[in-house]
Amino acid sequence: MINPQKNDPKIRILSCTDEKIVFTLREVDVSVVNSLRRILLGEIPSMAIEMVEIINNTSVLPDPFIAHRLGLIPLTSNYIQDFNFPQDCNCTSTCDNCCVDLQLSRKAETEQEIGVYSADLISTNPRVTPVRDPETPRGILLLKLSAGQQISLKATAKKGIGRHHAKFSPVSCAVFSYEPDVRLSQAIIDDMPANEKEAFVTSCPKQVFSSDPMFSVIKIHDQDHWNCMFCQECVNWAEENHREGLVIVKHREPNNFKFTVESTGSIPAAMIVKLAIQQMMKKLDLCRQATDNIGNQLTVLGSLDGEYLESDL
Amino acid sequence: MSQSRERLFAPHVDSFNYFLGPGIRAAVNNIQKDFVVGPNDERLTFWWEDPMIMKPTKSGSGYKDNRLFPKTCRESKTSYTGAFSAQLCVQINDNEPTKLHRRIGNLPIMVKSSRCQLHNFNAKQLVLRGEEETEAGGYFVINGLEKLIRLVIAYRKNYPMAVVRGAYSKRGTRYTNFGIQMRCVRDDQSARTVILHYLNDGTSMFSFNIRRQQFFVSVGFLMKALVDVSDKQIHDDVLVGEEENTFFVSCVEQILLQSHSFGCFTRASVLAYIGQRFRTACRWPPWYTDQQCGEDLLKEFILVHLNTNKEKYQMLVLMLRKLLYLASGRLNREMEDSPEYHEVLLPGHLILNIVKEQMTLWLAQFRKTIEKHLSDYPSENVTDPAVWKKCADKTPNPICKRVEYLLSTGNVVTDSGLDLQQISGFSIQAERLNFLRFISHFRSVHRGHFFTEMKTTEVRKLLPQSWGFVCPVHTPDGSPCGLLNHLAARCEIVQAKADTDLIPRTLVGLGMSPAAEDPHITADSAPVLIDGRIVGFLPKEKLGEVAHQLRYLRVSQPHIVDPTVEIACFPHTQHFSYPMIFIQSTPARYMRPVRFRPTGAETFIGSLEQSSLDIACLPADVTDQTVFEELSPTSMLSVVASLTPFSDYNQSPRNLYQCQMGKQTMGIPTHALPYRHDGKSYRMTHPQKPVVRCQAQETYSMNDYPTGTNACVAVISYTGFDMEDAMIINKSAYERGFGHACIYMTKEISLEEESGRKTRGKAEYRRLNSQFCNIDLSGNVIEPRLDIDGLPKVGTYINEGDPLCAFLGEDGKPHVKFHKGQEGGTVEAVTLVTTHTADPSAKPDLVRIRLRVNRNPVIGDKFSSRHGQKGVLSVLWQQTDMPFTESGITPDCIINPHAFPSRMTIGMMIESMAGKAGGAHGIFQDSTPFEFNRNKGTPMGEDEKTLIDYVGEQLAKAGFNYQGSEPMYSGVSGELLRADIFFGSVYYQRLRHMVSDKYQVRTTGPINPLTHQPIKGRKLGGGIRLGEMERDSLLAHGVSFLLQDRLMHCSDETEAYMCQKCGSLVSVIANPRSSAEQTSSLSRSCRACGTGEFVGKVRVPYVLLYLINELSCMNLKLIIKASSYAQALEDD
Ligand code: SF4
Ligand SMILES: [Zn+2]
Repeated sequence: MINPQKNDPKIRILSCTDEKIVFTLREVDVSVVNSLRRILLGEIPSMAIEMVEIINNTSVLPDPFIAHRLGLIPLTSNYIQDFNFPQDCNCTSTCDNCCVDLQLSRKAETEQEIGVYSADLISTNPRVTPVRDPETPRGILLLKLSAGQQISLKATAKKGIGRHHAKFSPVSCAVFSYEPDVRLSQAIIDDMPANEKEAFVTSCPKQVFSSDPMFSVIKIHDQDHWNCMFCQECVNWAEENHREGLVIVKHREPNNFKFTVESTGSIPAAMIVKLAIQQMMKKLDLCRQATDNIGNQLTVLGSLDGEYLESDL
Repeated sequence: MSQSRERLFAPHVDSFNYFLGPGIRAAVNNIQKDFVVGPNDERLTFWWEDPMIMKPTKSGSGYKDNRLFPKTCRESKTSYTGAFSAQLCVQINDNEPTKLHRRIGNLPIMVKSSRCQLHNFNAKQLVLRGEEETEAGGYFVINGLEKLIRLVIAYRKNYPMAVVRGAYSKRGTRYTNFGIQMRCVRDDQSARTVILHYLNDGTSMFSFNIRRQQFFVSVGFLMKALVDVSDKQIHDDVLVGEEENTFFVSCVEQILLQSHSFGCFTRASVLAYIGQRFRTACRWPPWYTDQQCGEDLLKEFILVHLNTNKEKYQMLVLMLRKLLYLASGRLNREMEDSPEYHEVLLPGHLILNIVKEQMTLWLAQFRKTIEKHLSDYPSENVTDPAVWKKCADKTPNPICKRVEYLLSTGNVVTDSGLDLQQISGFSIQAERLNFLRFISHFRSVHRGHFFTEMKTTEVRKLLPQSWGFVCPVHTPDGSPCGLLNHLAARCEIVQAKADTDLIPRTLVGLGMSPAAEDPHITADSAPVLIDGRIVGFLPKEKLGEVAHQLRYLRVSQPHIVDPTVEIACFPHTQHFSYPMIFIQSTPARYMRPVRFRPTGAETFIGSLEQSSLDIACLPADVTDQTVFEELSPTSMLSVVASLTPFSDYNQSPRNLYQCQMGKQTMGIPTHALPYRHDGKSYRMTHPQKPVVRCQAQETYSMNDYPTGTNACVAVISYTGFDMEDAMIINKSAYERGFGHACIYMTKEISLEEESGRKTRGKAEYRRLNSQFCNIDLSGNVIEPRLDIDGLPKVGTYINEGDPLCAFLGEDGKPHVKFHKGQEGGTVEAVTLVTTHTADPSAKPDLVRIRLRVNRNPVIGDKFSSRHGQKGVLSVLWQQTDMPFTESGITPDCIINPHAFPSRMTIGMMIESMAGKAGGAHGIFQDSTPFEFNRNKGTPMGEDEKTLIDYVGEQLAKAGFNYQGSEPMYSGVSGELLRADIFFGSVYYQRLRHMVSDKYQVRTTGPINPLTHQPIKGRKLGGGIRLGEMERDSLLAHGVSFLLQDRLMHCSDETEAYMCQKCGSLVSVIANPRSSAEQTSSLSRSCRACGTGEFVGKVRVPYVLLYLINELSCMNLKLIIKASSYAQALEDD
């Protein structure tokens, strides 16, 4: 249930590159954040190879295996908006608005074994090409060909969403975490000898607590509490060592979230988030339309003293 | 190739090499000469010499390279055989023998043996020949199938074993359960088992077999036959140290008295008596004197492992003493089910025995042929070489056939019984389902066919004596449990007889008085035996020390005491045992390596030797006195069992299940897939190395044949789809390739079979007219969906009913073969071969079409971790709905926590944690059982962490919870789940049991013609039995309409007519149709009542009609009271 008091979301971007974006969301309900996560994973469209026509394959790998690997290659989908879903397109079978053709043709001419990489896929549309990054300019290794072996195929990329097949999902990770509220009791800390303090500080696997080399004070640095993963190790330590109340770990109220989105490379991370929010708005619009409709009908039917319940809904 | 892995096949390969080399030569030399006496008293002696076995070659001529390789045989469904020949020597009287070179036949050759074409091939050459890069052989190729001879347990050679067996007392009156059994084996591995029985009148009978018939001789009489010995001497020899023992004294008296009852008092007369009695049983030539016969009997049947009669006499004395100790209760029975008294029957030795017997029989047959020839053609001269040649050619020659028959059926055809415990079940097919299964065939040891039907569970028990030799974990559950065992990974089978010539001298140096010099044996001297021969006597108290000295020499002076020599010592301090030193150098024994602490070197110990040794297993067990130490505590495990990670933390039956499941996993069965034509092979397309693996994984290079994938597993009860061992798989993980696999099916079409002619075997070979072709004689295309050559294109998808191939039959008529079976597949390869390897120009007559069938996981497919935790896939769950961790990881699969408490597979939990830590740090984790905290209890182990702490700290370092659990969020609501979830990485195997092979659907279909009920069997489209128990539970639920539906409507419901008056279903007949009434339905009447008034239609199960019919045949009448529903209501 959305809490009206908390319904004033504030977004702050902590870091942003093409591959990864991290931002915080404050004063927002978990249902909203989770909807965003689910949309990110399952409903952002991207291009992926959907059909493969093998012309010649003398490699050791069977056709379906290669086709499956091709499907999983991320294709640049920055202009995904310009493409139609195959089922929504006006064309009868395929057209430039819904499909992109790619070609692959390699042969090991010499005695040398060669690798076939995703960069060898030649696209007919420069907007949709296999993702490359400077570190691996040839892309993903698809298969190897030994002397005389050959592969040649035609592939068709289409637009789809992750819910239907994982290959369409443009994110490799979309996750949020609650902002932790880690509170230390200064009184108990003051009571503890240095070696005990050290033990306490090291009990946390995520290094949430820090301290000076002499272990006199224990602090939680500015953003360090975000590292906490609610494992309760510190609390358990305190209990085992009869320091109940030394530390309390819980979700901050009201909930704040840190959101991390990593892109597969097909769409820049920030854009994915934008698309996700658009998608969410679209869904909410539909929802509002539906509720409006229902509301309208309710006023029309209202005169019937509640008998509408069975008939029209 | 990994050396250790090749060693696993050694029992097979080495024993066959022994057969090919020294074995066959020794056997042929030991075959008795046979002879014929001609009409003019000329004696024709004949025997075999110079056996020769060649490498397999193609039989025809015209080949550039006539070497025959196993791949060709697999392809052409022929056998991989090499020419076997020998010299038949014929001697007339005492003239110079004439040698005839005889080709005996084609003997199956073991792959990778010294007569295999692949012998000494390196990896590259092997691959070139279409073999595995790491092919280790050990099997034969028979009719295209890979067959091997299973190792079967036999009793230890030449050891006088004290047994108590109920069956002994059934041998005759006064026979008791007590006996001393000894399996005497000659150097050529032919065996004769003898038993010394104790009778309750104090006497003793010696029993032996001639052609599977049992004979008994009084032991005193036998002693007198062996050597010229006085009663006094026997009395003294047997009674050493027991002169005062009234039981012993009276027994010896009885035995001596009994030996007098035959009226023979000299050795010669005793021999003559025996010889005369056994004349018919042994078929000696008529000119043998009775005495000669007696000598021959002793040589051929009595204690055959010994060469001189004196040795045999001494052995008999020892056996008798042991028997009397056993009977008087001063000696414990020796457990015949214990591996101490076992060795294995090796393939090479079995084949050797068969070949030897067959060659002997051939000589006898040859003799008969000559005799017959001479009587048929009295004019011909027996000394004429042309006559022998003719006779030799006429003599049937089944020698090699018998071996091939053994390999293809597992049955031994034998005249003498060969001293085998069983004559069937010797061969098995080496399935390459995955590498674990393949390797297990070669490591399995069967207890013997006889025991499978035994009611008692005694033989199946796991004994402590089997430690290190037979794996306690790796045995099937169910009927063969405990009977089909597997050798421990490091256990070796001794292959060659070691040289023991220097040992007696050494022993004399250590204080032994040699038996050959008639030592004065006193009460405190104990015998020393080498290979079942008494070599001397030692003072009892020196036994232990001498044994230790010998063991020291075994390590330091291998030329004196060979490393494969077993030194078993029964010290006099050990109660209820017969003190002696038993040294054995014969092949086929179990031996295993341990560390000899005085020198620190590895040494081999045998199973009999082990029982009296103190072997430290862990460092904490070591004391100052410890001489032997285990190399590793895992040395008790077999290869398959030692691959289970952290198996020491699991409840033991789970490890047993894993040994079974490991062998049913899909993986990479072989790397030579394109060159093989197995009927069905399973292949996983995305296998991985396990992150958590045992040392054995490396030692045996198991990563060459991976069997699973590392999966992120969350232990949580999440959707309800994970109840009762079901598992949920992340749909995205599945889409990215989790568990993907395919199977290869090979369809074979043989023109020979299609034409109804079996022309295999060269004699009746005639060219076939039929050929694969898609154009019939009038030039039309036979089947447009096929290529011009009548075969499908590679890459086409073949469904049920699609054409597989087209050919012209013998009569020139076109034929098309269609694909049967519900499942379709893609044509991956088409192989055309000829089965007539002898004819270089033969046209291909066999086509193999390999279909690839995709088998990606579907609901109901079976998966398992490596801890006997199997489960079926119940649903593919959306990734968005899966729970996720802080770092955004969603599990690949979810299993239910209820899988753990009752099964106690703690090893799996540790694997999960270790896998997670390994993944986080990028390292492989060692999961060898017993390795962690091995030094516990010693100073070294004091500050070692426990395994849990070790893994926990690794996890904490990687920023995970110490216990391996993680807070998780519901994928549906995004809220934190109220419990920490145990989450880690576990190696998952996909098992070969798949829904696609098993589902059964039927509404209507084929029925049994007699009962009209549905037939059973998935292949035939039958139904699943709804039996009594199912019926009961449906009744209990009150769903009687469902029951009626199943048992009536979907089964054998039928319409029948009955007469309500007499209540009979059989008496109603149709009235003959009169010409007047042309109406459609026939009128019916009851023959019993003579009227059709009461005849009505009823719906009954057809079997009821059948039952009533059958009953009426027995003059029983079944009356059914029936009324219509309306009537019944009225009546009420
Ligand atoms: S709950 Fe775990 S991660 Fe959070 S502060 Fe405590 S120990 Fe560290
Ligand atoms: Zn279109």
